[in-house]
Amino acid sequence: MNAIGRILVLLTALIAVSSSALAADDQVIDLQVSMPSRGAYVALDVEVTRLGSRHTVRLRDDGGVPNDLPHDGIWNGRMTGDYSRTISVRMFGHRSDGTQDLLYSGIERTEDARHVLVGWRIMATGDGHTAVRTPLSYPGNVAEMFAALPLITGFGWGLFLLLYVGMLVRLSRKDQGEE
Amino acid sequence: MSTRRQHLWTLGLFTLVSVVFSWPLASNPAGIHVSRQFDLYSLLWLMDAMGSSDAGLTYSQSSWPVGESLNRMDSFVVAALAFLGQGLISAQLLAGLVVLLGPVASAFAAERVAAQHFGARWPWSLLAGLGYAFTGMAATSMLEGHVYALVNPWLPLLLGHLIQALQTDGTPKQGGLAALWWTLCLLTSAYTGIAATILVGVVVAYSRFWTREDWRPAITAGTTMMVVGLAYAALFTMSGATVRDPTQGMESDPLKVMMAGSIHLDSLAAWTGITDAHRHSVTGALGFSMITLGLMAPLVLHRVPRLLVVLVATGLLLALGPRIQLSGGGLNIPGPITVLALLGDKASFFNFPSRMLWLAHLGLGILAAVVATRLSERVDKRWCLPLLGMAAVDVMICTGAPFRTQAVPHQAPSIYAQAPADRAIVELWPEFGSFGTDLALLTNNLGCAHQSSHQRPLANQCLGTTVGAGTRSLGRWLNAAVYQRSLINEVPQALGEMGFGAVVVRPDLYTEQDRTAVLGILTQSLGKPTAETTDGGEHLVMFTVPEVETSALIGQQRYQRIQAAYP
Repeated sequence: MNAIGRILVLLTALIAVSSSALAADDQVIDLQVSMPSRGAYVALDVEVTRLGSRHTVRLRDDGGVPNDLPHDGIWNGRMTGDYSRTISVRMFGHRSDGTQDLLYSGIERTEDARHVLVGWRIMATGDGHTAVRTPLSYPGNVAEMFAALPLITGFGWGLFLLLYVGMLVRLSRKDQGEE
Repeated sequence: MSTRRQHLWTLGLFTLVSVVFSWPLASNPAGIHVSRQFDLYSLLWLMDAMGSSDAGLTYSQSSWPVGESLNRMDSFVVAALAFLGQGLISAQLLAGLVVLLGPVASAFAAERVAAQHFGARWPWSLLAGLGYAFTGMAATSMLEGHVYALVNPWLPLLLGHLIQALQTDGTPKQGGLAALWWTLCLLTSAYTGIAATILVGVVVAYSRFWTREDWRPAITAGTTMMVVGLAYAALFTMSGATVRDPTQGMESDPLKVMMAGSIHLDSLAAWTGITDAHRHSVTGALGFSMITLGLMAPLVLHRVPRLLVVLVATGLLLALGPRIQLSGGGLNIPGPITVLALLGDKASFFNFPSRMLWLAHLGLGILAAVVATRLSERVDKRWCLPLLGMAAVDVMICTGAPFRTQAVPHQAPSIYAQAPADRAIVELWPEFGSFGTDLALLTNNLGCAHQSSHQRPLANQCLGTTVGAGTRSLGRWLNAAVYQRSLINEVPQALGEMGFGAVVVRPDLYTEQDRTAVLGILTQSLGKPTAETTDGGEHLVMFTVPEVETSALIGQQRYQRIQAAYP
């Protein structure tokens, strides 16, 4: 078998193995809220309407939910179920005096059949709090920094490449007697 | 290594990169797509429409009951592929193959042009393919869903043949070939056509062809391009204008629309989480290996190919839009296309300047291949080989493509199959307001894509970058009936006259209060729901419309009255 044939066989095997691994059953939707202003709320609930059924997901920051780091200001909740392209969401913050605030309501796209992460950040407004959608990634409590992580990595990679190609250019000029 | 063997290696390697770039698409190309936005859904609909028996420039099965003009279809090339493949290949599989194999063809063409016209040697010529077909705009096209732009070997071929045609020994045949590639660029998409026209301008300016004695190659190319271009413009302006909302429909300032469709400086380096959440997945990542090798060109090459430098600079400057922005704000340095704002809504033909970045990708990729070739001649090859690996890593890190893809099933909800087979379907969703234009378009286009499974006529207008006027009017009229009780009795008769057999509602998209009201009024008006499903990832409720005696004329008159009353 020639090299091309080997590559094709490897590629086919890789696709077959990965396809079977991807044939997951339930869609996992992770809900994540960054609440830097500690003390504003003692509990967070997200009311989710998914495929016509309403569920309430209690968010936690005690490490009891997969991927949650305890007491880092990131509250997490997870729901699994049949595949849904969108979910309707309302988020409530519970105060210590028993009252609750509606912090967010909206429709979220959850088109990835494997895993979806929906993130919010709670912000103080003039007279209370509100939640805004934000891109997040695990783990951390500074949402914006992690949203920009690929960019930061990219610049590091770019600097490495600049040094490497610079070295090659230097070598090439040396070989040519700095012509 | 023989040339044939080299070509096979090139195709094999590009295929491998493409599989990784678009992963997990290769695992199930007919069953899923990997786009994050919603442009793909209307393309799937177009492919299905072109594969149907009544394919033509007007399609009767959407925008029911008046039909939809296809003059402004996204891509005549992909439509032609769908037309040729009717009965043999589904729209979903064709879209998957376009994403998987389109970049391979584009990369191979760029690699060949770098080798044949700019002196890049294999394997360094591979950098041209990677830099052109697997960087920022490729990721953007894949994730936004305008995947027809991925099948574009024409742009590099145009560059190669136009250079040949305008040389002293150029022939009319080469001029004709250049015109053919330009035509295919235009038919791939209007934006690719604009990019190709700019490329022609740059090459012509650098060829100084007017100093040649033989003008035949230039005349052959120029005449053909002019005839094709005028025919395309005539087709574009003939009809289809009503398909779109005016630009002001979304933003009060056409300049802002153009700025939103431009590349931001930060995205030239890499993607961020914000790119997918708020910027329609538009990434201009050029690839750090391409940038670095390009920057080193003056130190490595005795004579830097200025044509490529100008191509990169022009593409970049145009793609940055009317105001050069750092990251969705800041800087705001006026760019050269600010003048387009003077055209007002007529500037909507250039709402997405970002697409001009394909020119920069092509120029930079070829330049990187040439620089790497020269470096490999002077330095031990073992030191240069990692450059190829680094470029491959670039494709993954800077575009983030394999980490940003989704696995979205094509499966359509089964409810549509329960609608009366010989009558049309109207879908009902809430008014999303100016916040939710994306959600409105997603809902509309998703309904269009599902048509391939149920094959019933549909009220949705499926072309355009905003929800069509007809679809909007019908939705407003039906939603108005919820709170205007006088309309309740009119609904069944009017729907029946227009030839609709079913109303499909997406109740989860309404607020709880309106959901109850909408379902209640429709029950009162049309009777109890005849079906409710939650498969295919959607919760849908269907009401069947009683059949009434009607004709096409009566239906269209009723439709026009509703359009006039609920614009």
